[in-house]
Amino acid sequence: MAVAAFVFELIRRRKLREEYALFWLAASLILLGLSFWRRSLDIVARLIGVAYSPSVLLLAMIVVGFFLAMHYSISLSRLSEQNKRLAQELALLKYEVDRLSG
Amino acid sequence: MTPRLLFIVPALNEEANVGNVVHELLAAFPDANVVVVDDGSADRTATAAAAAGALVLRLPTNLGIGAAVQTGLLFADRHDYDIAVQFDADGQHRADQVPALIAPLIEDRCDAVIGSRFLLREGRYNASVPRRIGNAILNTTNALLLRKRFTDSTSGFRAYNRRATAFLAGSYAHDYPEPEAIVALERHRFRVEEVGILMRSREAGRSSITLIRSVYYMFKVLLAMLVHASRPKRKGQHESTNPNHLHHRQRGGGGIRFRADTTP
Repeated sequence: MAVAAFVFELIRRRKLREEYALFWLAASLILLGLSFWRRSLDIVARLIGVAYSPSVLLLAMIVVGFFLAMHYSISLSRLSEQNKRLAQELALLKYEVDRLSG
Repeated sequence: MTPRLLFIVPALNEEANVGNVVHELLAAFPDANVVVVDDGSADRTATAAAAAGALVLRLPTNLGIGAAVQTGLLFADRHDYDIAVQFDADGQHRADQVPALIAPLIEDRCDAVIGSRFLLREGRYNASVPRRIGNAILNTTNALLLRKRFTDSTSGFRAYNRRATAFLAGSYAHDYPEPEAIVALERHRFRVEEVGILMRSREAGRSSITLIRSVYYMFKVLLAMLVHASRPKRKGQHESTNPNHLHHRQRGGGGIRFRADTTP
């Protein structure tokens, strides 16, 4: 519940882009759902053959965390590449401006 | 017709050397242009270069040597230079070695030439032991990946023709790119050759590469080389950023796409 409220507040302050916000909202809703309907965890655990059902939650969180970190690495790489291109274009443009303004 | 020649001099805090380097180049090649790419220097590198008669591109932040050279290649590509020569700002490279370096390009025997310190018997370059080991590993990797022997993969004394310039301006790697550029060029069926050249030992200042960093770079470059090699061989995607070179673009079905006007 607190997570959902926090995420909502971040979106309100425009600190979070909607695409990320959606993910965090979904995550908080799932957590909320699990705390209301605890038996669901046991059902999932039995389905995939895990004896101790809380470990399913742990596993899920690790997997989600892993993919999230991966996603951020990819985004960062793309951003730094774009940043490099922008800096290069800026240097070239600055040269042209200096040349034209004598 | 003599080819239009551009010297690309990447410089980071080289105010002591860059002026002499520019003077030396312009004295030897009065018709050529020298562009100094100031990679976010804290000293007066840009002023010194401009005073010596170079064109100066100032990067707003430090992007690393790879990106700095690429900026120069972008400049060469957009201003239609026939040959781009990469030349160090620290005074290690010699202007009198340039004719030997660019000869294979002028004769159209290849697209990219690497100046090697280790090919000529006379004045053989004395590198430190770790540097030798690193170089040997990179050379061996290159040899294994490309089935072609390079003796000085890390050399920053090199020359590119228009096609190679356009290719590298579009996709040059970020840092310490020299060995990687060879793999990328070879994989895209560019003709890469080594030529023996002489070098000076460095003047003022010291190498920007320390031991720990060079080990890190080694692994990074090795990984990048392997990645390049694992991509399928293909004809060069000459993604020139020069609008006059649109016909060179091959990726994505021909550069600019027009929206088809569909009438309902």
